[in-house]
Amino acid sequence: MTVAPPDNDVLWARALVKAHQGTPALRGVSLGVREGEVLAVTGPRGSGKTTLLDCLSGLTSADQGEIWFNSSPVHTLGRAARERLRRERFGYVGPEPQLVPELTAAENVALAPLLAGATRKEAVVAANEWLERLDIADQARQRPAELRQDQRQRVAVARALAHGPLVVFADEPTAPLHRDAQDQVMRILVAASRSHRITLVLATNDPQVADYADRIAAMSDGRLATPVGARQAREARALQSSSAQAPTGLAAAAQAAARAAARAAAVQAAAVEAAAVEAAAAEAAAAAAAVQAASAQPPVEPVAPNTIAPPTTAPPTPEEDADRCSPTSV
Amino acid sequence: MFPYLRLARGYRPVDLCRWLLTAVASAAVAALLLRALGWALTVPPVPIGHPGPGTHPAGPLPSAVAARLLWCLPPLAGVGYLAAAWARSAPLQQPERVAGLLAAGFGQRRLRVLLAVEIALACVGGAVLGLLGFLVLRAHLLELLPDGRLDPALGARNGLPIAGTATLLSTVPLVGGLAAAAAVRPALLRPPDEGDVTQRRPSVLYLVAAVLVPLFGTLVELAAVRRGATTTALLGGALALVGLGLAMPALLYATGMALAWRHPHPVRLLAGRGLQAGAWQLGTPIAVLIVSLTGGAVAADRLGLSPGPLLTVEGALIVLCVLGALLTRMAELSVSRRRSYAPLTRMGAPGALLRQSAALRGGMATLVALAAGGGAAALAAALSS
Repeated sequence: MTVAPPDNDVLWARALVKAHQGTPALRGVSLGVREGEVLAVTGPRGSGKTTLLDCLSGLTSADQGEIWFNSSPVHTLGRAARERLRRERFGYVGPEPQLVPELTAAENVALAPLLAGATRKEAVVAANEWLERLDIADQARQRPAELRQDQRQRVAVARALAHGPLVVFADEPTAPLHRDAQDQVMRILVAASRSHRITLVLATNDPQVADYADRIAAMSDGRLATPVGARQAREARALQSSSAQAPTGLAAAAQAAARAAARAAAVQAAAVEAAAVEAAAAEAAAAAAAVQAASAQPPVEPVAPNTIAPPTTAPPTPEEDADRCSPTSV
Repeated sequence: MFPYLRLARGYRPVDLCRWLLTAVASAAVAALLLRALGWALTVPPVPIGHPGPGTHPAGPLPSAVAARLLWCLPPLAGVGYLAAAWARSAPLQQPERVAGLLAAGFGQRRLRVLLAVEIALACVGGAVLGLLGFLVLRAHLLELLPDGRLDPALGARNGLPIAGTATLLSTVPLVGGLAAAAAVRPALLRPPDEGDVTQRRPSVLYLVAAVLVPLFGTLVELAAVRRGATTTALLGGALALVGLGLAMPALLYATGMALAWRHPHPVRLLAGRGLQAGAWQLGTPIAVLIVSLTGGAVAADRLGLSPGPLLTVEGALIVLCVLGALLTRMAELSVSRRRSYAPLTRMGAPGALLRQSAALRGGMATLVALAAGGGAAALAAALSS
């Protein structure tokens, strides 16, 4: 309440601390999520991704720190108000589909708008619409046990989107799926985020899934380790892979870097800033050229200075303005 | 095997209650069995060709001794039913325990044996308790009842045959353990998985049977009662009663379907679908309760049994066992429901909504059970008049 959150951040966390029965899960995480963006929280298992999502979505309350949603505090809300926030403003996709087994697919999806206060007719219409969009309208009357795992996960995605949430939290949404289904689910989520201007907060440990994000926040041991832009992370990966394959796979490495550049350009274009696109494309092209020139070079660590949490003391640096992840707090 | 029984240290109060219930029921059954033995000792079975009972003019006929033993069978079946319900619900109620044992290298067969032994031990405890009570009464240690009124039932004048006593008493844990082992399906002894939660839908054949059998039985009974054909009426009544028990899950399922008809409000939707999902788990013990109570009442009426302590004890024992089984199944349902409603809590469903739907579900199930009970009572009344 001392610092008002920036206006363009739909969700904003400051110095979150959370422990599970004495085991620290979050040790001072600060994070801002802009409206309509796709943010990937990455990190190994046990790095605190899920806890961060649970805290941000109001499922659990943090031990310390502040969370603001649309310029109103979440951390001061009581249980009932947080429940209301979850069912009206937020959507959630978990690592497991987590459907109610006795309800049909359509009923599972319709439950979200019903809980959010829609009328029965609206809920049915919304559920059918989303099931249609996710290509499972034929299975609408089947129960979860009768569906395949990827179909179930698509139903879960439809449920998370059906009530028109502002923010969707997706915790390893592709974990139980094979590669094709993973791509499909991620494309649906990102497309919905773009078309409905839904903010998507994604926790994942899969670099390919994280590629869909506009921005990546890497966590380790309950801290935001390297809050860098998705573009930089991609470049770093391209460089790393190229130096691993070094002399033999030169062409492949260059290709990978070029692909990364293209994808980064696409993502950035979708995310509006045209100037950033040019910069990204130019930078990525330069990186590709650098790879070709000197392949034996050690991998470049794209860690921006002073961006490692806890960021309460770290002043924001100019580089972070483009790809800001944490330090809105000063 | 026995070192594993230290798992019992992890009992929660609910488990302890179930253990005690099984032990108490076993103790009562053991007491009934020993009472039959006591009467048999007082009036030894007459060899074939012998003129008849001579020494004890007021004593019962040998056939009555056999009848006494037969009367122990319904309570014994009740204990078996309780044990089966317990065994079936145990892995569901403590999935982490099953998961831990499986991870520690327990096979499914060993888990099954462990469960059966656990339940059989409760029965052994009860049987030993019953034996102790029997011995205390026999030895007049406490003088609970003066002037030896119970002596013939205790067989106090004769020595107690050890082999016979042991055989009789061993039937209780044997029945309990075997019922438990038979009730645990291998599918239950696996870590829970979302895909496994299959929804049981009634088959067409079952639905047809659930409608036709009670209807046919009732018609036969009523027609026979009007014509005064007693045996046919009894047969028809029995058929109608069994059919009613058979139809109980279908009734619950249909009620749930009606509740969830045409995209209702979440409270009704969840209540209806929940009733449909639990139709078999709830319907079976309710049906057993109704059928055993009504059947017992009709049998007592037909056989002209005078209401005495024995009949009361037997009836109470059976009701206790079936109620225990019903409660066990309800606890099992509530555990699985907590798991399946976890996503709702995650979505931010208010607790009041879940409570309301649970209340609606419970109320409708009670109504259906009462209606079925009323129907069964009417059938029984038509037979006795």
